[in-house]
Amino acid sequence: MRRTLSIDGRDCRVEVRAEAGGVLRVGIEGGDGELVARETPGGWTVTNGRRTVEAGVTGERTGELVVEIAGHTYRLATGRGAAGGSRGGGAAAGGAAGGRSEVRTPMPGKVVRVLRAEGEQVAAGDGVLVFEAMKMQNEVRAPESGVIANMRAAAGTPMEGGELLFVVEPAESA
Amino acid sequence: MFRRVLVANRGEIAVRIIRACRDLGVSPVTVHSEADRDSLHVRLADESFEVGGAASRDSYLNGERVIEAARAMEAEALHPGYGFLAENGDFAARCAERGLAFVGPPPEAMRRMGDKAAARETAVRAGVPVVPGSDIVAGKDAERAAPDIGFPLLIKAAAGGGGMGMRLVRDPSDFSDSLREAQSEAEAAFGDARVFLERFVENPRHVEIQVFGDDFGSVVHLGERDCSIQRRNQKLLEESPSPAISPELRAGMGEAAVRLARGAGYRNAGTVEFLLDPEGRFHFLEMNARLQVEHPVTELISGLDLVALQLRIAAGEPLGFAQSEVSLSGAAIELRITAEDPFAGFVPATGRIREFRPPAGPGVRCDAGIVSGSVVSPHYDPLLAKIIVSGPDRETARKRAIRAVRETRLVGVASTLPFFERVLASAPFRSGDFDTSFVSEHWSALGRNGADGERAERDELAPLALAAAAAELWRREGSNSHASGAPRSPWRLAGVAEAHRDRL
Repeated sequence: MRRTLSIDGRDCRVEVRAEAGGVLRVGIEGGDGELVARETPGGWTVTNGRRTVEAGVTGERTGELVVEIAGHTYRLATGRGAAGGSRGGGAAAGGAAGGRSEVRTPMPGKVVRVLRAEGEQVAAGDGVLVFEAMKMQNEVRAPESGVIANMRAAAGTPMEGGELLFVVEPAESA
Repeated sequence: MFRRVLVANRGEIAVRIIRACRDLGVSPVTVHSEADRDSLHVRLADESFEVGGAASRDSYLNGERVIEAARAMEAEALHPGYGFLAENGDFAARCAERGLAFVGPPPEAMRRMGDKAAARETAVRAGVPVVPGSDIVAGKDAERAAPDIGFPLLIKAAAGGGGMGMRLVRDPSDFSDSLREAQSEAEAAFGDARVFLERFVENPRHVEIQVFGDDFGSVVHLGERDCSIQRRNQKLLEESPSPAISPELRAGMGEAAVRLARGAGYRNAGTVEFLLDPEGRFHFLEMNARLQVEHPVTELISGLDLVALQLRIAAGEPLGFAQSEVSLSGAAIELRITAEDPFAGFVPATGRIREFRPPAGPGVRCDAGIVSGSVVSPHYDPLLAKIIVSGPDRETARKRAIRAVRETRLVGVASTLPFFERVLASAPFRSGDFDTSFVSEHWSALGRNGADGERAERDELAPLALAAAAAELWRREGSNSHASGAPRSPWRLAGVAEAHRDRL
């Protein structure tokens, strides 16, 4: 997943990649190295190099997320619903609008193999990953042509029914 | 000792009293409103009785229903905590009539200390210094009394409370107008236009003495608590010992408080509040005829369990120690964690607490009424939890308090945690040299700028905040919206799996 978020008036491009075991790797454009995020009931723990902090994350009604770390409060504009949303970061209008297609698991199972990576161009019908459910392996295909925008699946990860596997966004025309 | 005690309260204080009951081998039962069915105090008690709707007046303030609950659950005594029914003399008397031991002072003592003028009169008779002031006066008499009392002075409603009908007069020429306003406001609010005058003590500290009396004539004091960090008369942080008083002054204030309690026929736990002026003179303010929110401060420096002591005394046991056996050591600080946003004028915050993890470790205690998942509603007091720290000296306790605040995880509602982090780290708090104007004088700058080095830390943590927000968006995107493109299913499932699809 790629997004542009605004923190203290600065636009920052971020990229989120899922790994097995519920670990997310977050890259920040212009930053040095990836950060690691793990979910907690009230938000996330985030590791940057040798430092790990707990972050509380709330809100979003008005296109804003409120993040609290060690007594500091940050308000981040997520671009959603806000004027001048950042196209360049690939921020879609959200939901399934704007031609995005989300592909989800129809039942509990396990991702066996991931065939295409985030950011890759795919044509409608291309196989994207292999999912095992009910002791059967099935190839999951791209429903539309476009770019794999948010690859949530990782090989070996057990998943619940209805969970997001990946998103296909129309290729940028610009 | 009682076999079963009704805890007639909610939140952190109900939990605190339930714990004291357990420690004594007493069965705690409680009451709850419709909104509190799944509250922590309900979960911890042996039984709970629903006394009414969410609004306090329908539930926790409904004395008849609360007494009914005590009978239904066969409780022998009732502990009112603080607030709600705690200082209602008529309610205490009704409990006694129904054979229910009220854990608190006798109704007469409660009524006397609840009436400002009667309390003042009791103090004067007991030889306790009071702020220079008048008896209850009206019209011309008030005009005559004012010059003797001196300016600045306060005009207070005799039946008053909460600042209604109160006027501060600095200039003698404003007195007549202010008197008229105060009287009409008192008439409107309480149906009683009578007022009294009191010298206004400038830049006071708020220092109070904990007292305890039993049925056998023993009355002791357990030292002081300094409650000068307050906002609009709401205490936010309390500590003991007070950084402003000497052992001699402590002894003097303690003796005065004990004399007052004796003079009022007081028994059980009570607190005598004083204003301490910059010259080190103390003046009686009021007596609180109940357990105080900040009682743990005294517990940590005295080693006593005040709630257990209250229950013992209510059960007819003697205090069991003399004044000379009271030993106070170390320093303690309490922080009131309330659901109020210190960066938005302390507006109350409501909502679901997504995660709560109290602080722990050496010298740290947390009395909380919440758990992860608790809902903070607008119906009740915003106090969520109290963090109380102790150490051999004030500086150790202060550092521990900062540690405890930073360790606390509270996500979902705004709270006063960041307020304390900044106050505790500030130079005026560190010095101990401040008065009740601390918050109005320092908070806006502390709120804006934070403590030293905070800016640098904020910048350093910004990338982590960014990563947390990105992770959150990623999570929400995965769970909020539903798949599109159903006609062109990406799934190429076969056989039995396909057949199951519709059922999933």
